[in-house]
Amino acid sequence: MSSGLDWTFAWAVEAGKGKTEAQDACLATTLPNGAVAVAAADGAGSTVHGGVGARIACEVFGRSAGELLELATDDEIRSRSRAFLADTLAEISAVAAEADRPISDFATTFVGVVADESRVVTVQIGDGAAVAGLSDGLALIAKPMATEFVNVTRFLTDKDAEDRLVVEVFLQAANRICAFTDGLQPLIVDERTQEPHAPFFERVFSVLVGASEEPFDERASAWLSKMLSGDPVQKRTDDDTSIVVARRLP
Amino acid sequence: MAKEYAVDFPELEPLGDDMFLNAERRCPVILLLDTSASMADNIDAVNDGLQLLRNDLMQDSLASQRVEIALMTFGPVRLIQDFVTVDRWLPPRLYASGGTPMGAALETALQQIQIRKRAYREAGISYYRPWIWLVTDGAPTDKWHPAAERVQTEVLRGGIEMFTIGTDNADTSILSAISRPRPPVRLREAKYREMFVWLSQSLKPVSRAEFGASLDLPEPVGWGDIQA
Repeated sequence: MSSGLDWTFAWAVEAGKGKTEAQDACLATTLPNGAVAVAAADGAGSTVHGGVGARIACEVFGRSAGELLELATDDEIRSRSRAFLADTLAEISAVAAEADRPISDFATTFVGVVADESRVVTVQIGDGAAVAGLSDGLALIAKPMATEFVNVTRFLTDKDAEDRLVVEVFLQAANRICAFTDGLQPLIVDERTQEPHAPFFERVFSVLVGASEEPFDERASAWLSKMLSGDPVQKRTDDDTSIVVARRLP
Repeated sequence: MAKEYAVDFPELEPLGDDMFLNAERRCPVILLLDTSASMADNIDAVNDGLQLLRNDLMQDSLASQRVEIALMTFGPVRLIQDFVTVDRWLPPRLYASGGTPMGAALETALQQIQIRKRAYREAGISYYRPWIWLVTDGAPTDKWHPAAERVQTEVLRGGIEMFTIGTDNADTSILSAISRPRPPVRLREAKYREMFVWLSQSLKPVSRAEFGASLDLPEPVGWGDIQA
């Protein structure tokens, strides 16, 4: 197939049991020079507007992630990632001020990945994780942030968020990328060994066959939605679940 | 209009269970129940309430596998049931007798939590912040200050969620010193059954949802009044 596309991607967000609306958000976008950005964010379940915070974080990352790949040194990438955090907080602050709410009402975790033909950069705060398919297998490129208790995480809106922001640079070419939030995470990453559960990722990546003329594959996204709302997932978690998957086309 | 696809699309079914791992997560809860002699009139309601707690949690398949209950009574201090998931828990009948050694009970509860957390870590099981749910109808008959201090140290470092529930005869100022910043709840008219149902309803989402730094629990409508 020669669609002229560098990447194809799909995503899905599913509200947890008993909830009408998910507070998770996902995004993927193609960037110049054959690069791609993907992001997933989990708005805090204990807040009213966490889902808005999650969406803003994904959108800001989609707009600015390309700049990370233009930078030569890891220090510059870390510095630009902190600027991404500041930009996101500025947008959230504006929305919060409009709604006359504190920014903690918009608390969200965040995991973003941007990749071109030679590098992968991850930007993360709190729960959620990302897996990359490299030429020699799968790798967990963004690990869930370690806390003692399951129900405690870090948010982009925390006062010490800048200190908690984890930025990693991998000098690898990733041809498949998947980011996901906390609801799905323990079902697909072994919590003891931190190994991605290969049967899941191989199946999910295989759904992206490049059948669409657009980078966004609607049919693969529908598949992901059905997967998230299906019995095997629903009997294992009641949390919001979200996943974004991207695959480089040959 | 339906789009045409050039390649066969992988069908959803069968979507095997082997695609997913089974996440082992535990939400440990210690029920620290006053069974001193003065509880004699209400012990039946407590026993009924424990059955309701179990039966209600059993309605939720995830909660029944994630919430672990340990049942301790005072006095004297007895570990009636060590931590066990709800689907394997059968609450035994409790009897009222003895004093109210609340300090010793709290010390033992903290020890049990440490032991349980170590077991989780050794088994590689993720766990939620433990809850201690203290119910009393009186004032401590032992030295409670050192235990309250130790509880407060744990609360302040975010190590436990401490709840205190007292009847009309309970010393609210002591309960407040144990559970602050969370205020004690005064139990209305021996509504133990309603209290345990509320506990179950509160635990169901806690065992699965992301709560961040603080618990956002419903008001104890129908069974208690928050003592600010």
